[in-house]
Amino acid sequence: MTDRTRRDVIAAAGATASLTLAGCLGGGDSGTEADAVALADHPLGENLDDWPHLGPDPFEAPATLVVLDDPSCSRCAAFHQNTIAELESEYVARGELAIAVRPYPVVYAWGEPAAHALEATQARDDTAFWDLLDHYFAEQSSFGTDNVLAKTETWLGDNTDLDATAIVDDARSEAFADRINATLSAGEEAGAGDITPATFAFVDGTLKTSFNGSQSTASITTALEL
Amino acid sequence: MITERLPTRGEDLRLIGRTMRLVLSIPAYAVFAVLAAATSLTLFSLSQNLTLTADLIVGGSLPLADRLVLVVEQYPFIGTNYSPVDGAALLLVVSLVGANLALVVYHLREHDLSAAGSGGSLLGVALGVLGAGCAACGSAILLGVLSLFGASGLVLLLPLGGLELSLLAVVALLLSTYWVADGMRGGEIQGCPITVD
Repeated sequence: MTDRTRRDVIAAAGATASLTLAGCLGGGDSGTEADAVALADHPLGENLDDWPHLGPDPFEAPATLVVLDDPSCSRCAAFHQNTIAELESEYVARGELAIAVRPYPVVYAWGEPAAHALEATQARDDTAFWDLLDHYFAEQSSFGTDNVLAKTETWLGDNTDLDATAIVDDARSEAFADRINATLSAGEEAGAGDITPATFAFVDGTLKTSFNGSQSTASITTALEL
Repeated sequence: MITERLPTRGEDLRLIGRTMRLVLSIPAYAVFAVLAAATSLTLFSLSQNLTLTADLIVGGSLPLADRLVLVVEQYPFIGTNYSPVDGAALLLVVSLVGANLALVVYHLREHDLSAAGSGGSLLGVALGVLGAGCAACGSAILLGVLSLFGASGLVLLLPLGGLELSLLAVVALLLSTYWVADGMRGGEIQGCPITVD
């Protein structure tokens, strides 16, 4: 079922509920949409070009998602494996949507060294960043603070042409701590707190809203009016 | 003795089941229970996304149909916010909230008695809100409450990642339901005695 069809079905099925909900939810233009903050002025927009993204330039795209992910967060894994994958194959592929991701380690302890490894990897190769992130999500249950960097080194050695030892050395020495701290500060300033995935949605370069958790494709596309 | 106020025997659980069944067999109370459960589900689900709710569901300029889509997509098993286990736990909690509130209202209206035992309902609702969703990955309300005590990382130490709160909500709601049902023991619902043999 397409998103549009799904929306229509839900809307029709909700006709009765709308009688109840309309009074609570409002139905006109009098509400308060997110403050009109431009992506360039948003805390997460600062130096956003330094982080990897899918699709068109996040500052030029018709719609942009900035996603804060913790590699150890199970709902982040679900969000990427389902919603992001669906958005990528349709809306990103058509150039209608850009998706930028910034590692945001706030959940389990092993997420922090993993985030450092992601930053060290991305400094060398964007594609390997996405592959490593997918690997962390796919194998979450096998990682802990005691093995995450060793397993990362093995995986990078087996699956990329990068210098896996150098990447893991950078992760151990926290060579990219400034980038992690910049994202943590920006996330806090933006109101993400300790919740992941935290997704900030921009339309035509202006903040529309933000989401907590692994939102569905229909939810994202409805909010962005795609 | 406090144990006299706890459902420790099989017949206590049967009392809960029989009282629920009798009350919910009355169409008006069944409809009330369903509406209370649906309202609870909506409030629990939207509490996880207060910014989205304020920006686009209550505020903003989206058509009503799109606002409804955003509401419905926050529900477990329709949207993707909840794992199957978390979603099932949330549905169990809201079902119990609906049945529990129907019993409390029946008790108040038909027996003209006090709301004894309904304190457990409030506790169950509160725990249900706190435990909704993946608490480890961040429940907006739960983390807000815990951060007041500087303990927002505490939930990560729980073996089930915060699902424990939903299970506590189930226990609180069952206790509340038992206390209400116990208070109705010996009475009748539509001519049927509230007793278990």
